[in-house]
Amino acid sequence: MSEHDDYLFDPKAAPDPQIEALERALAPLRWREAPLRDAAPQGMRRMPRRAWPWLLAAALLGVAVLLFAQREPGLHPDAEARSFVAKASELRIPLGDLAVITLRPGSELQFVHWREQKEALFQLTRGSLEAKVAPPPAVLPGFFRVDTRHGLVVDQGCHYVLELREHGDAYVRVTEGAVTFEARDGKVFVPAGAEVLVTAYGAHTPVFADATPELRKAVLEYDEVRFKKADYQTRSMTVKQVLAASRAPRDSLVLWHLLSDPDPAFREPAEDHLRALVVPPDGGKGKAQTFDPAEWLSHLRLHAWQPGG
Amino acid sequence: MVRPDSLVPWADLMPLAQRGDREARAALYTAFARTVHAIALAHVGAQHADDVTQEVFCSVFASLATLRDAAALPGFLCATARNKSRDVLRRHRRTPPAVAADDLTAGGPSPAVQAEQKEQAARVLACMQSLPDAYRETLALRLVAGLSGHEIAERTGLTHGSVRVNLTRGMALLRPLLQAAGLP
Repeated sequence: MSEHDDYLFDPKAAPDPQIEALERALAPLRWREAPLRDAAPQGMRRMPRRAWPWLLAAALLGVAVLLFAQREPGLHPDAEARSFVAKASELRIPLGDLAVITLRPGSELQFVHWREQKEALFQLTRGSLEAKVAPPPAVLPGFFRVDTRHGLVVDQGCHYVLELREHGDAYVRVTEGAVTFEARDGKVFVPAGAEVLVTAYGAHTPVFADATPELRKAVLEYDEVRFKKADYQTRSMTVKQVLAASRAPRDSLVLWHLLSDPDPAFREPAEDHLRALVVPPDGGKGKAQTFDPAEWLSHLRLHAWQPGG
Repeated sequence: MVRPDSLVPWADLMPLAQRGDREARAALYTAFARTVHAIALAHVGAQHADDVTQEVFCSVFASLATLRDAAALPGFLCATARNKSRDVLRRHRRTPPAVAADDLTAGGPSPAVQAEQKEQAARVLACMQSLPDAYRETLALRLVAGLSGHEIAERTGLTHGSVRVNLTRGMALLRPLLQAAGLP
């Protein structure tokens, strides 16, 4: 190992002038110690006896404040980060007129921050919640976000339920509007009436709640071999099963997600099948052409994914 | 009493921290904040690194009780730092870094000199940010946070060998970039 590398690995070795110059140049970017904003709960401590009456009074006051807070734990822009815990009953958390979160019993939600006109960010650490967010223009898409261990639920103007399951898996079911779920392997779109499961491997392909068992099974197998990065032949078989099971216009939700498959050999038949189920954005006139997934998305939301469609 | 940079007791603090003990969590924060900040800096730059650091600890502490293997904490913190950094990058595409007037510390060099120093630091960091993730992070941990190779390995879960490789190869790629940019 050279002299340069010695100092690079160990700051106590003989200094290397260039590395030292870099350290000096980068010094303005060093971590400036700041207190942690998160208010973690206090641990248990022994108190002297004479402190007990004061402690009791403080506890009673604390209970009164807590009861008040439970009735109206509203948030506002630039509020401090805090935790919300729903024990035996639901906890309703309004964000002004913009949104309401209902935390189900046995759930814990961390409020991270609310930056006005930018985002309101939460983290669901256990249990489940229901979120109802005002549609645009009151709340712009992407403003309201809930983080989970495996990804981020981003509101697109809607009403949805988010549940944390075993191993931190997140299940989202949307009843109005839509959400996107941003997982490590990419983003999925979940419109009203659809659901998605996200695990440590990534986001499964969303399906409508009324999808046939055959389609659900085919999608599950497609996702599993996709997560395992299986060979082309195995993946090809699962894609064929998905296409065969996609028969109703609403099954186009699955096909739309296949348009983002990394392999063009799977994207092309998915789009062909999509065109067979739903009139394409150009109305089916003229020569068949490939459309951008974004074009398909706005088209399908209007013409194929409406409730009862 | 936990020495601020000592990592030896951090595993001992985990059971308390997982139960929500404030002092234990503060000690973990002190032990790992520089590491998380350096990783965030390597991805999102100075403008957002502080916020990302706070968000990482907020997020990790909120789910600390569910961490089954306490020894996984360093890796968990680093992975969360990367994820939070990606979120920020998605939200703030192409936001040019700026030197805010209130960032300049009172006393010491004049504001003009401080601004120049910060600008140079940002340019060096930009060269580092063009390197592969593994190299830029490890270089940030060494050159910005001032951690030794052993400390980097302890705080990130990397092997000593990987740290050496990342530092050596990272510097080999960084030198010509700095030279081309007229930087030290």
